[in-house]
Amino acid sequence: MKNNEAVQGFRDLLRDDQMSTTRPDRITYSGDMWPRMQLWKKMGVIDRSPPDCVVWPETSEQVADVLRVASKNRCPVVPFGAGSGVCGGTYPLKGGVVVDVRRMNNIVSIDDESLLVEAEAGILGEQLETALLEKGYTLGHFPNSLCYSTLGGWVATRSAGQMSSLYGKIEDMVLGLEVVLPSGEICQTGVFGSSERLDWTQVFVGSEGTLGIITRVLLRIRQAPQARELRGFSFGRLSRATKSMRLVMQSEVTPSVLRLYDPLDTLVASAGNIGHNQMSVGSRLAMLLKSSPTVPAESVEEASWARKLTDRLSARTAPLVESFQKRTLHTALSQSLVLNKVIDVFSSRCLLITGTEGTEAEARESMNFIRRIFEDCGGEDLGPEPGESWYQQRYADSAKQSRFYEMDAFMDTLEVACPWGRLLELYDEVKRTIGQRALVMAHFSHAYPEGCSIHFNFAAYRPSVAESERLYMRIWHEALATVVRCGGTISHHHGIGLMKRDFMVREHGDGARLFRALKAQFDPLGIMNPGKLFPDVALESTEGHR
Amino acid sequence: MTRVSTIHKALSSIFPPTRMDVLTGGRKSRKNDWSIVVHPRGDGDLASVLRLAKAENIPLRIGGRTLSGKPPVTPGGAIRVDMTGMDRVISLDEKSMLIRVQAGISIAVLKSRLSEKKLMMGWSIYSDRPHTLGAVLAGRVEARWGAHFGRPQDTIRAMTVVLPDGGIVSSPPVPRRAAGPDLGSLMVGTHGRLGLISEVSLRVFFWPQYREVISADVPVEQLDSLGRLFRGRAQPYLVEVDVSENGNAQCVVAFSGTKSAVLKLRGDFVETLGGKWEIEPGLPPREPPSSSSVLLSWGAFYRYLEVWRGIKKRQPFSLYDCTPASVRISGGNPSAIKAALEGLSDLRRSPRDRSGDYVHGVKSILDSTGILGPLEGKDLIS
Repeated sequence: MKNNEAVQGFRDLLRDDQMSTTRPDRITYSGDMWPRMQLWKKMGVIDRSPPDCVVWPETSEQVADVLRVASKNRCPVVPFGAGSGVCGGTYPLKGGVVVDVRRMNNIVSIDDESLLVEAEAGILGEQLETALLEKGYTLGHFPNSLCYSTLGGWVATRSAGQMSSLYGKIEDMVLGLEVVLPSGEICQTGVFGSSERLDWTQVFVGSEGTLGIITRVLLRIRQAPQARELRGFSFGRLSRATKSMRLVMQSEVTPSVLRLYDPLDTLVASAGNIGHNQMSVGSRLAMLLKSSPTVPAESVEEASWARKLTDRLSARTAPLVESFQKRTLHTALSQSLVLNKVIDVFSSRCLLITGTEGTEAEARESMNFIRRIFEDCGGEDLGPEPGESWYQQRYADSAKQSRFYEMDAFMDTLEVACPWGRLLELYDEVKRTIGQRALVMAHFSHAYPEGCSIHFNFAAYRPSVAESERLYMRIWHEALATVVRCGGTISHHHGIGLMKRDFMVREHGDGARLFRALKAQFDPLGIMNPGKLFPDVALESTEGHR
Repeated sequence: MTRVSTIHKALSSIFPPTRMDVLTGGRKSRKNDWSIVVHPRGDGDLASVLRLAKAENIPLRIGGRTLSGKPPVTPGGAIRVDMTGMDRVISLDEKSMLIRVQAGISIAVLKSRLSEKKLMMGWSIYSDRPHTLGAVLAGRVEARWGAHFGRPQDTIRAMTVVLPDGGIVSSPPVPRRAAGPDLGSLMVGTHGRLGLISEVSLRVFFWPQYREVISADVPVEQLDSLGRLFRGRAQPYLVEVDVSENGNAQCVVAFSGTKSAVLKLRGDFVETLGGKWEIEPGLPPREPPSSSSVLLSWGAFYRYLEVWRGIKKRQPFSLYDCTPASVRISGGNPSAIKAALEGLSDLRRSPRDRSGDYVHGVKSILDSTGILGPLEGKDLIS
């Protein structure tokens, strides 16, 4: 064990049930939900870089004690929430100690007069939202991972919820933080009770554990809506649909949800909606490909028919069909360039889901206003069903991609953003780049008056896992290079972690120098989540992980 | 060769003679006091002059003119950077409601350029003095803003900063990103001591369809429910209140949006606050908040009001920057403010940090020779 003295130091500080050096725990905490790690697991590699130990502090003071010991022994520290990240942000590149803050999950206070909530960083999203709803409030932050992600994780990675158009991203909600610095100092940020001064809040927000550990957060909340309206619209052209989104976001009415699926994603979304079956994007995509290798399904009915047929076949001749399906999937994904072109030819309609909130009258009036804009842009009103269906399934996606991996293929998501003026160019270019090597589809969500995010899903297959990993990294590098070239940001809400760090310099120019100055100020020993966010000069020897 | 000649010669490789002015002290006693004012046109010029200043270890100061009109001669000599030449509108993307400008553009010109397209910034500075956008941001100049449009720094979507070693931090304007800390936030309020803001992309707003400003005098007791008026989906554009020592609250409220939405919101305000309201032709001028103004959560403000009302020698106070969670109070009785903050959690009372130490630490790394000048108290707590 590399950090024996530090581990002994933690043992002296904490109870037996607050730390572990067992192999199962160390393996469990050796990463997050980064899809590349799924490939490693398929290669049989489950302990590429496990931490030396895991600790579960229960107070900020205990976090401070742990960090003091870590600093004294120059032991790397990886802050951990619920491990739902998808960029390798909690991968312990240099071993050390993983500090899991989930036992710090109390709501400190809810201020009814000021609409503020103060909570510890380890609280799960669902716990926080449930507690607020009981008092008639909402945070308005609903990421896909609501049930298995923490408040601290959201803040550390600049998370976004599905209703960000109305409520904003997490950074728009944070008004103050308690952060434990590697020195053991417990510092607090925010501007309450003082004249306006330099506020460090937005420096720690998005820092992904590289400057300190966030232990407490002050957030603004809102009154929970009395009513919600949801509807779906169909557009013949993607450009008309994005235009309608822009016009809505730049109007006096702000919807809670705007979610536009490109033609393939529309097919997949429709397939998943039928029967209200909670299925992940991966499962739906796999299902679609299995049921129809050339993906000609034009309509919802056809996709439904195909699914039913597949289900019946699966039930009766499962092993045979499974093998056939796998081969079909592999064949389809191996010809992704052709497949993407076929899809472009055969599919054209796009589904746009929208929602409004407020009093019953406000929600209705807002929806009527939005409907007029959509119809002026050529949208066809599909009624409430597609919106309601999405709403019921909205947390089904992100944790359930394993089925795709079970079939020896892989998939991942890339979420980027840019101004409206460059949105379709960014979409076309990234889609074309990824489409050379993988099946690709996208949806546009998290719309703002000045621009929008695009969430690409891609899936590919190679006969060996090692080849798959090489392809996976190649797709990412080419896609991110395209995003930067088109003037977008490489991440809208998943963060950077290890996956995208090499592109930070391309997005921020000499921002790395500014970041290193911050790092030298707060973490002079470089123990906090080393190697994340920006390439670290001292950690350039991580070629094996690129 | 004198120091000023050496520096002038070195600067000649960056700037043509027409973009350099040499100013000296004149009298014999001030022979070592001089400035060379340079007029950069872009990032490249700024980066070059910063690199030169660092290499020559010569102080570099922002601002080529003084308000009094005196030549800006610096004791011991300095390069002065006149940013007013960097005043271009680089792009105005009306589709995305984004404007990208050089930091030397004056606020008046920026306003006027936006006005031509029926766009606006959403905030305005109190001062009548000519200010560049860079100065407003770097100096955190007080601005009038409301919950709907945000503070000047809230409207930044990208910023280009030239670091003391000539490095350029630049990123594309995007609505939001999840790509690390907000590095630009370090440049807001640090008076150019960590780096020079050279370009800014701002989110801009369409002119509202309808706008209305109303005013009334109401008893101070009516302010007990002011914060609740910010709970709805629609927000007023601006709420400002001046409370006299005898408990009279002069309120000015501005609304913007569709006419029907404004009328509904106005109705809510009038009903909640009572009093006789009059329509104003526009926003009346107002003094900015004092440097000792304090941001209070609404809960703390209500406690303040309660204590203030019980004080015999009451000091007048004013309210600024109302949002759904907070209000800024300027003036008033410090004892009442102290009492209002008691019992609140640290994050809502007075967060503990060592802002000054942190900024000094960052500066010592970025600007080890101190060419951009020392950090002072006002840089940290303004």
